[in-house]
Amino acid sequence: MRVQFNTDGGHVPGLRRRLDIDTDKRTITIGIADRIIGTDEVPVEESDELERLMKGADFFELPATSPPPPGAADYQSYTISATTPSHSYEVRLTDPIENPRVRELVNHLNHRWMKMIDARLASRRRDTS
Amino acid sequence: MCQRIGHRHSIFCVVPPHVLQAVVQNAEAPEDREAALNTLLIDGTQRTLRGIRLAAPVEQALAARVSAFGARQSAKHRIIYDAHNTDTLPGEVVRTEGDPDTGDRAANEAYDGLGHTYDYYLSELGRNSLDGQGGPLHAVVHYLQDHDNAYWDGRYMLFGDGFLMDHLTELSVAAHELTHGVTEVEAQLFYYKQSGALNEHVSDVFGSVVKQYANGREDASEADWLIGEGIWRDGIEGEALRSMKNPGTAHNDPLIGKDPQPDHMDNYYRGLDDAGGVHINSGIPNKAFYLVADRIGGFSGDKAARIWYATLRDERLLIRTKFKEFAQLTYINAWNLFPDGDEANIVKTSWAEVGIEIS
Repeated sequence: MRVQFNTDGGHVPGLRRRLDIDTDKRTITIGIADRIIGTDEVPVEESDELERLMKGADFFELPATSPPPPGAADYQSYTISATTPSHSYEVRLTDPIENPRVRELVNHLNHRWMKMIDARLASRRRDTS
Repeated sequence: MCQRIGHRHSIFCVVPPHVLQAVVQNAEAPEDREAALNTLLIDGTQRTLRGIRLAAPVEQALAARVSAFGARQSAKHRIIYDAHNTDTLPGEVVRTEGDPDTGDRAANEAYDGLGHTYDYYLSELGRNSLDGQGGPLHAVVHYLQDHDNAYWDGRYMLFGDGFLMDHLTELSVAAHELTHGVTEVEAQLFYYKQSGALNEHVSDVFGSVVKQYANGREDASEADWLIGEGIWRDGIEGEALRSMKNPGTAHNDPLIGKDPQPDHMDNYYRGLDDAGGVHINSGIPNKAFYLVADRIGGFSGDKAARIWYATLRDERLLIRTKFKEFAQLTYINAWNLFPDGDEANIVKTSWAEVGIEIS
């Protein structure tokens, strides 16, 4: 399964998080806006965990869009798309996400992105010190 | 009519006024007298409409209660919640009006930010809270884990702890978020393309002006005109989220990119990202406001922000108003507020400088 995760919204338009995970090839690519920041291998446990979260969120049955609450501003939105040999589906979500299983999935993808960015930041700090 | 102030006593929902008066005058239990008095207070409008007269002692007690209720309504009423890094809203109440410092920086900054914003709107513009009716101000801190955002969900201000950002409870950001609540009450500027950029612009205007107010009614020439000053974590090249004085210069980092805000219509963003550029194109009116405030001089809350506030409340401001129409309204309101001064001409020339001509 290929899972792509993109964020938009919030105060900084350029801070769009991108994550592209292929659980069959076990590869991950992260980016910000239109820039690719890095690629990595995905351990089999992590692939299994992502598939479990997608299944737990009942991803292919989720509504395609969830609009922001009336009057809301500066909120973040998340687009998740998943492709399998038999399915292709895209969901657009907006904060606050009330479904706990979907929140867990979004948190997982966000933290995977942050983990790789954290490593890049640490490397930058070492280079400048 | 069953709404209650303080003690809840549901039986009084259906009790006629003469019985409530008897309870006020004769009840042995203080809580029964209190509940009956509160019910009479809540029921006041309908009672007046029905022409019901109350006994003198009850009327006096009620008058005192109305006065106390009125005082409460015009006072700050802040409620700070801690979501404990979850999405459970609103979370645990950690500080309410008058409570001491909690020891948590985010909770205390949110509390102070709400206070400065409330004080500015009341003392400078005569507005009692977001709704103009003294309604409570709610803020949630520690929303989600490492969340790089602060936003307004239509009820609460929500502050993440940040990952690439830090210090999301900074005053200009808090005042910016609260002002979305004011805009929603006054104009409901549709959050897409130009009307959305105006919604963001109005929040930046009052975000910055509230900060200048809190800095002792700072002179426009002394203000930093930054939204979210010092918000980026160490290692990220940037001084703020946005700059009203110099749009497009607030951050420039290999990881997060360059601040994309234009300061002139020549560089207007026409894409669909960011709800059609609501945080991008707001740089254009932001620059115009900065020019107006700087040229008028003194505290920007004295004149420039009053012109913008009158525009926000102008019934001609529609939910899909565009930049040119908004600019025209600021010009009209400048004339109305300051008919003998040069303010309207300053407004006109400042908009022209960012590429928006007022006819």
